[in-house]
Amino acid sequence: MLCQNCQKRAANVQITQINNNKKIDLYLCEQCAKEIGHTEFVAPFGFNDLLFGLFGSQVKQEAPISLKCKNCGMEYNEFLKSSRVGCSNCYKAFEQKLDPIIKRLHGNVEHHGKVPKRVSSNVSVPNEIEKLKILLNESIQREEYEEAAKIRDRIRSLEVGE
Amino acid sequence: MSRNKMEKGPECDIAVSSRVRLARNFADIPFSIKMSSKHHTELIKRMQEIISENKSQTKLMFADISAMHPIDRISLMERHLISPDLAETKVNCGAFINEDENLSIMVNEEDHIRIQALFSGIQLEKAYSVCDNIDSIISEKADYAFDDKYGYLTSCPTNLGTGMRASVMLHLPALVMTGYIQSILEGCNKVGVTVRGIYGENSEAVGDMFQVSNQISLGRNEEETIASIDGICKQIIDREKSLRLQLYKQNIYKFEDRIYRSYGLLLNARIISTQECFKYLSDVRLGVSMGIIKDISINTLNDIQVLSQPATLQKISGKPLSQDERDIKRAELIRSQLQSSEDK
Repeated sequence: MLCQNCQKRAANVQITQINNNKKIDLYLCEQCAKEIGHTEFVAPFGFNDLLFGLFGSQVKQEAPISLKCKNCGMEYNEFLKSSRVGCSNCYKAFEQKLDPIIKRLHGNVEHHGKVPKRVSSNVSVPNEIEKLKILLNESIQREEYEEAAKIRDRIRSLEVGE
Repeated sequence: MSRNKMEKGPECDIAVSSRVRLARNFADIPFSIKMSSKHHTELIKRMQEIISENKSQTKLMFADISAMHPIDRISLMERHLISPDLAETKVNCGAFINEDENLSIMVNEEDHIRIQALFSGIQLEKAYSVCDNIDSIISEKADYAFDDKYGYLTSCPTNLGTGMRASVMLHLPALVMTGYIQSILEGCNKVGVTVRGIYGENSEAVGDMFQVSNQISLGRNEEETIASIDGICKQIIDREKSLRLQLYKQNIYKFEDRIYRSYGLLLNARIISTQECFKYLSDVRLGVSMGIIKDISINTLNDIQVLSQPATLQKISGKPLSQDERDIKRAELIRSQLQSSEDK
């Protein structure tokens, strides 16, 4: 919902006021809440802070890290503050640090899914096999055994790394 | 205003809309946090070329968000065509939007591009197929940032993998009334599903509307993610339906009274805030969905929900309005929408 004061920004602060035993709920954006003087209610704690908790949790126990991405110049500490990487190469540059965090975030570090057309990727092989197995079952159910045999051979060739 | 050309989808009285978005970045341009204004302009130009080169797909119009008045930007956000972040950003940005207003490609959001499709009811598969199609067209023309291990590389590691967020907006008044919503929220968290307010992150669940979406995008493919969100939403819908019936049977007069009072308020109010409007709309939607109110359609309620929001209301009026003026205008709009719906 929008801030009840400026009607422009998203409201992310709820303020409950009691006036003459009447409860009034106000929904404001952080900026308006600050301007109106409700700073005590404005806890700048959002999604980024939660991520920082996750990304930054290692920092305390370790020596300061001075990893830097050679491509865009982003430093690892800069990433910790913003939770955003600077370029596609950052994932390689910070891999050692990022890998366990990504694993915690997603419970996994292996992509299963679509592969862009102009990329030759190994990811597409298991995907292709999975799709072919579904087709194989369907053709067996339809009793189209010639077609099934062709699909079976294609699966085998993919499995041995054609 | 060409809103709600949306055809009614399955379960559209409870599942208001289904949305799929794909986050994509190009390999040769730094990500948003390291982009210069030159990069922003270059990216818009690149996307304009890619879109204009392709004649086969549905027509996409470019909306130059940066050149727009703030009211127009927020109105696009209220119609769920762009994100709150894009509506607020100061960088050069834009969006490609189709005529039916169910497909948009945001440029220069948190990621280089965000492709999103929106359909009425539970239709995640359809929304994905529309996104997938346009994504494949773009990926034929330019190289995306992609990694064998992490999949599509995104600005924030939370979107790695498929870069996909699949979400369904659900209207759950009975679950809210009975307090069962809390256990659903907790349960969803345990299975990697997020429940948020109507505009996503940090927004509140107004009018008993909740957005259910996947938390995890790496390690699961698109079809698996869609099937899990779809399955969870269908379960929540079933629970909501049975609770509605229970509540109705428990006290028919009390139940109908609440619905008709809210209907009466919307039909007769002369001044009404967005907050109040959403609250009563929720009761009326419940009444329409259960067949208690027969003379208005869910589409009319969807129209009111979109058109009565502050920026869209000002856009319809063609001028900026003070809060009081907006509340008066909103009441007028609601009355005329409800009356014209009754006349049909």
